[in-house]
Formats: sequence, structure tokens, C-alpha cells
Amino acid sequence: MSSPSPASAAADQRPQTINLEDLPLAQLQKIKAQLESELQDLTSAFSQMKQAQSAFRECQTCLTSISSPSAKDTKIMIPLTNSLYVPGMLSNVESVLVDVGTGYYAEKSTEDAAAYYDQKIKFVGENARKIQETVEQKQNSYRGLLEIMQYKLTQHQHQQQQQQKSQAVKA
Amino acid sequence: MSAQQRKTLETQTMALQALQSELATLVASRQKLDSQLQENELVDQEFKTMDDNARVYKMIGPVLVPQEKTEAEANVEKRLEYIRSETARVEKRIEQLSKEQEQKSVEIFKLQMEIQGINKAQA
Repeated sequence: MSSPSPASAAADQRPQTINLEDLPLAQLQKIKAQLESELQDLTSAFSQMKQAQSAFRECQTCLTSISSPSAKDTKIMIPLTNSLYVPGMLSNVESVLVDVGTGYYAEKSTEDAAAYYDQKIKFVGENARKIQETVEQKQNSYRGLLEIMQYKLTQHQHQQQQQQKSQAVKA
Repeated sequence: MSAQQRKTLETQTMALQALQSELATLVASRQKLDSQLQENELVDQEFKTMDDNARVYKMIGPVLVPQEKTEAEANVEKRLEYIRSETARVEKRIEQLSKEQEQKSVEIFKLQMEIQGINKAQA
């Protein structure tokens, strides 16, 4: 792949920047608000992904702790509610029921279940990575926008001061 | 400016607002359909990788009911089909409404210009 010549790269970037600088402040403010809400949505999606990932990790830890053959016939306490437990015994350490979504549960061997969670963790991690990339892009354009707004604002103030000066001279 | 014009402007603005709120609910339902589609697709994929005689349960209320895996798979596929057709329907309506909304905005803008012109002429 040939790299684009500097001239064409500049030409590619120019319309965008000029567009932003040409817009009135009110319009820029609107774009800023839009970017802010997008950023917020994306960051919350990102943290949801991270939460899902850690939930899947926890499932895996539980799997490893019950799946060793020595775990059979271990005494456990089964939570009936948050505060009520009954004693129980692990009688089957070979298979588990996995929630596969939309109300369906599948019986899987512990190895299959571990593989299932592995795949889920990867899938969610990949999504989180994509979201993070988008967040970074948006943050960059947000910073650029803020700079332009700042520039416009100082320019505006400058103009006003000059106007006042010229009026003072006239008076 | 005539009372007539003010009245049309008012009704047009109301119509635009109604359009906008309908559009918002449609967009929300499209999002919901989208997430449902994703979840069902994942379940479908999972079923595809499983043995045909694998044991599958369905949660009905608080109980797990055993189900034939093939039956469950067919069920999910049917649901996918339904969700896809719903998405297509909603999308079409969204497109239509966006067009209407644009038209209304232009109409209102024109009306406002007219009213302003008359006001200036009077002043």
C-alpha cells in the first residue's frame, strides 16, 4: 500500500477543520453537547462490558473449585435466600447447568462449561476493546472541538475590546 | 400578521412535535429489538455447537422445564425470524417518519419567514 502524499493528506483533513471553524459558536455548542452524551453512553457501555466480563470470570472460578474429583461429597451450604442457608452435599461434580440466554439452560460437562465461559470472556473483552477505541477517537475530536471553541471565544472577546476602544477614541 | 397564520403555525408545530415523539419511541423499540436479536443469535449459535441429544431446560417462571434440544432450537430460530421482520418494519417506518419530519420542518421555517416578513412590513 502506498502512503498518501503529504499534500493529499492535508487536503483530506482540511475540509473537516475548516468546517468546524466556520460554524457559529451556538452550533459548536450543540455539537459539543452531542459529543458529550455520546461519550457518556460509550463509557457506560464499556463499564457494563467490564462488569459482564468479571461476572463470567467468577463463574469460572466457581467451576474450578467444584470440578476437582476430590470436591465430590464435600459439604456445602446452599443459599435459599440471602440470609438463609441449608447444608448440602456435592453429589455431581461432572456436569453443570449453564444459562445460555433467553431463558434457556443447557447441561454441560464442567470442561465444556469452562470453555463456554472462556469464549464469553474473550467475546466481551473484544467488545470492550472496540468500545474503548471509539471512546478514544471521540475524546480526540472532543478536545479538538474545545480548542476551536476556545479560539473562537478569545477572538470574539478581542473584537469586542477593539470595538470598545474605537468607540472610546471617537468619544 | 393574521390570526390565520398564527393558527397554522401552531398546528404545524404541534404536528412536528407529534412526529418527533413517535420517532423517538420507534428508535427506542428498534434498539430493544436489536439487543433481543443479538441475544437470540448468541443462543442460536450455542445450540448449533451442541449435540442434538444434549439436555436443555427452559426457565418458566421459577422452574426449569426439560425440553428437546431440537425443539428449543426451532423455537429460537422462529423468534429470530420474527425479530428480523419486526426490525425491518420499524426501520421502514422510521425512514418514512424522518422524511415527514424534514418536510414539516421546512414548512414551518417557510411559515416563520413569511410571518417575519409581514411583521417587518408593518413596522
